[in-house]
Amino acid sequence: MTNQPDPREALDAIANARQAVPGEMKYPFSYDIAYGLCCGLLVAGQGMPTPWAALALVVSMVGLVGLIHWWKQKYGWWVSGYSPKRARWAAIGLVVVLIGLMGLSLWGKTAGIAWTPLATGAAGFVAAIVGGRIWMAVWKRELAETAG
Amino acid sequence: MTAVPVFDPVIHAPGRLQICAILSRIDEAEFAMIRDSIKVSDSVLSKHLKQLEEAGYLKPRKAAVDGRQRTWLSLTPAGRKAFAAHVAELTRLAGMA
Repeated sequence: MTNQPDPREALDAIANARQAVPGEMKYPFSYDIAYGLCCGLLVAGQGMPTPWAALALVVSMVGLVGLIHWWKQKYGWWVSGYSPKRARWAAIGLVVVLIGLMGLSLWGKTAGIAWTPLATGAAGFVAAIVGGRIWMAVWKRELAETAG
Repeated sequence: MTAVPVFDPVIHAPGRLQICAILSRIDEAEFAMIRDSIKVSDSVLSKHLKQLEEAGYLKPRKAAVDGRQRTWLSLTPAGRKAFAAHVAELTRLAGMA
């Protein structure tokens, strides 16, 4: 490539540079498990008695921040779930599901159903893992399809 | 929304074009990740970054990790807009050739 590339060379250079992110990245399944546990705890915590609910909230938030920190250290970049135009809908969908499950947890708490946090927490765990993988698949497709 | 095609000489230099290409896809990247991706030295990358920063296209952020100072880089909204416009212009020009 010359110092001032022609348009086609420049577009090729852009495509090549973009292969660096996310590249052939295959993140470990343990990341999914940790993410699922944080989200599951966040959901379940809403149905727990007050001191445990506060503790669950703090632990899940610290866990999510820790996951972001780990990702940045390992890969050297970060993208929020809400930044990409198309993949953000997968993130919004996951948030809607998690909020719905939190509502169920609260309902179970007021109705006095002791096992509700276990059920909603487990559902939150699974939803986070599935939602996270769907988000990544949509984002990778979005990267491959969009040039601008 | 499709960007209005505008050629940007600050972005068009090969190194800066590659930096913007990477940063336009993510929220932020670490200095070393960009350097290794586009295969340039620290000093060359620093010069490119300084030009992008002076144009208002780039925002560096210093963060200490394990006692070491690291620089994280992100495009500003103006930088994202300028890059999208530049890519639109390149696409237009390539279509004419």
